[in-house]
Amino acid sequence: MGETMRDAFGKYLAKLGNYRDDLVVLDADVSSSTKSSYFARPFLIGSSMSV
Amino acid sequence: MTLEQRALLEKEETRKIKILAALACRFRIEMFDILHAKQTGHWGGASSACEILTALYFHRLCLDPKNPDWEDRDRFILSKGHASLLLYTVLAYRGFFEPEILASFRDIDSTLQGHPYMNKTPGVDMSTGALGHGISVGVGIALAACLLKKSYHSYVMVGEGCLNEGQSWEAILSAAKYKPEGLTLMVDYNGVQLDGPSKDIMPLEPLADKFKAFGWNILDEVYDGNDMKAVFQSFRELDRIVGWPKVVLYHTVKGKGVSFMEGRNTWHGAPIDDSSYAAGRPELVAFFEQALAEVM
Repeated sequence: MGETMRDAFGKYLAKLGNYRDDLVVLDADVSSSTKSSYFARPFLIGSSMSV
Repeated sequence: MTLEQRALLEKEETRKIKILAALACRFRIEMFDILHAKQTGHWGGASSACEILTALYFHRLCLDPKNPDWEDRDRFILSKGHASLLLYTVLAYRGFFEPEILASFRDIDSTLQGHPYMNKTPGVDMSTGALGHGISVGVGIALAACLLKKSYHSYVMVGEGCLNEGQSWEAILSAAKYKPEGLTLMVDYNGVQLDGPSKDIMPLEPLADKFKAFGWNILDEVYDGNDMKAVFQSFRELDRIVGWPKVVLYHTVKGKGVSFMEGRNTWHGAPIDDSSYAAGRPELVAFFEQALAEVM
């Protein structure tokens, strides 16, 4: 299986974070499913989740 | 009842507890094998609720596996639908379908979808997976029993993720208002959810006090949901308390049975890799053999 859609989404979101200061990603308890976790690793603020 | 009859009953129950404890251990091995083979699905929450569902389906629910749509059957809603493989395993061995079908878990066109789907799988009373719907539906099903003058019971199991959802608390309010007879809520309180420990994601404590404040009849004790004897005790206590709706909290261990997976959110739904499988399976087998030795 190639890369899943959610992985592609999450990784691209994280990439965009490098270029935009005004990009905010919100997630509630399902970041490992939505793959917003890729964004969380470098840009995490104000959360208790462990990434 | 004479003393002799009572002693005999107690002896029979003790034996049944041991048999079902072993069965739950056996189910864990089966689930572990399937999740590893499929490289998808949820181990953590399926494992934590294993004893409770085994006890429900083999000791408590009034069912007819050959007639899954029997109108008077007891209902069960797995609101934490991602633990679907546990429900399927229990249903299969209870006789709703052939256990061989379990191998098709999560396949395209399989009757066993990734999350429970009531229109495809015999014995599934409600489609779930999007968290937080179970209690609402449970209230409705229980109220329907009152309207239709049926005496079936309705059970809903939630995890902490479900109780994070606002809809759950709306349903808890409604249940306190309508007091549907026969509605029992079971909380698989394993302390961990998808992204981390529940106390960090969205703390629920003091949970028992919340249910009391909402007007539910809650069992005083929090039971060890991975101890078959304690689960049986909780059932007895549920029968003893008066008034509806009822709720019972079970402390459980997410990923129970595999030491390095226990209590870890990373094993909520991660694929089980080959080396973790090789290291984990013997632990599950050892638990099963130990439980089996208790029966013999």
